[in-house]
Amino acid sequence: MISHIELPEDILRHIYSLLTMRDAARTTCVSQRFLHFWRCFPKLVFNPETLAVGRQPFFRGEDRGKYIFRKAQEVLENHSGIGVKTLKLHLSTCCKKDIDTSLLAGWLQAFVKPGIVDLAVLLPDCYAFEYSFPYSLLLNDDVANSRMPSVLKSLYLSSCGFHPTPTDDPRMLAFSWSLSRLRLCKVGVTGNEIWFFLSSCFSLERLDLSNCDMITYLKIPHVLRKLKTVWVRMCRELGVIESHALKLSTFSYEGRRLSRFTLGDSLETEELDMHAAHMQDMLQYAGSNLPSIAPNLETLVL
Amino acid sequence: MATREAGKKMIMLKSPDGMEFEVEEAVAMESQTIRKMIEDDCADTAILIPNINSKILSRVIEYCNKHVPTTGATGAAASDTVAPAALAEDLKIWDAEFIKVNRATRFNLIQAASYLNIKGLLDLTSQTTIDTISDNSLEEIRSFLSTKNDYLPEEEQTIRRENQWAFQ
Repeated sequence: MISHIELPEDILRHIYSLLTMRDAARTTCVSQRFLHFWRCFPKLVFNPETLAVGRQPFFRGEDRGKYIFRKAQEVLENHSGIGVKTLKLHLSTCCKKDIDTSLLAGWLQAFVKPGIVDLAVLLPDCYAFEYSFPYSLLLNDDVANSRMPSVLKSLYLSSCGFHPTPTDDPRMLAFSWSLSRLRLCKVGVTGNEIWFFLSSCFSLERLDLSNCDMITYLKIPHVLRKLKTVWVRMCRELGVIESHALKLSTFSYEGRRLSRFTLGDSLETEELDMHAAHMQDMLQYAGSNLPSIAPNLETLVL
Repeated sequence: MATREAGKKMIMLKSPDGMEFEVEEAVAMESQTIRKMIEDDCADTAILIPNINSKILSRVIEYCNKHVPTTGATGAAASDTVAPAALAEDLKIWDAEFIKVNRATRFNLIQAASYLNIKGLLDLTSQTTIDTISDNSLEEIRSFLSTKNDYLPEEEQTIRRENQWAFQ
């Protein structure tokens, strides 16, 4: 009995889901049961490390990008599309010719479903204005009808457009994203679009924006009651930051001098950590405004 | 329900082979399954733990006893606690010793952790299995998991080709 003890299917599936993608792919060859698990593998992360790029025999360095895209294609096209919690496409090391955007659009269509928790799409720099992440996918009917609430926790986009736009759909009035982390890097998005999107991100805890050059002003709505950390880096056209997040405790800014900066009328935080490229402005702001807007503030780090 | 010391509620756990274990309620509640039974008032007298023999149950209790002070009353995962680094390090060493068991015991512990819903123990027992899968050849994995290769030769070749990158 002892020598033939087997793990039950559900436990084996649980353990399999914890393997790295490479180990999971290799273990597929053990038996058909594992092939079945592999077709439903929940963590699809395509980057040079998970695809073991360094171990593959390449002739030229430029083949690496092609390899990453082709491998993503093979794995995704053979996947059932069921049970995916994480989809991360780190394609920033690819060249433009390596990427077929119609395939990419099809993958997103197939894998961005209500059950997805962690989503990242990183394209090469040249796509910033040529390819837009399909916002409508996040907002599919199941999510909008609350048949299956969105469980998306983290969204990371790089070098693509992102255009959340208001709809006339009355269901959307009370809609809220489950997102706790939003990171946009070199993304074509305007201040209005960000404001609109953030207005339904009630659970957001961290916001990172870098090199998003279409943003001229950043307004953070007061409904973001959980937002603690905001990082803004090198958004070249940005002139105004207006935050109404009540619980903000870390604010970090790097970039050109702002014409207007405010943390709103009231802050409930007890600790505030502020970093900025132009500390003089921050010092002045902190000195003249924080005593009145943040009565609970006990620690301030500048 | 038995009580031993003032302020410490005791719970009786029974294994199917007839052994009884008296444990503090807080220790037993490391198991989310038992916690649910207690909270739903289904645990008036002794709780019978099906499918887990006394040898494995005593080891599970040993694990819960060790982990109860650091995970606290809320049942939060060990990583969420504010335990001092030294204590966490001590627990890690203890865990590493605890899991030095043969394969059958380990599989039984995984099943017990899964049934009793003890996240820390499930993570610990699963991790050693993950490491074994990671470090061994297909044939060794098959023998470790008591699984037979049920592919036809041509099927195996196709699957092997599809996943060749993972063997590099």
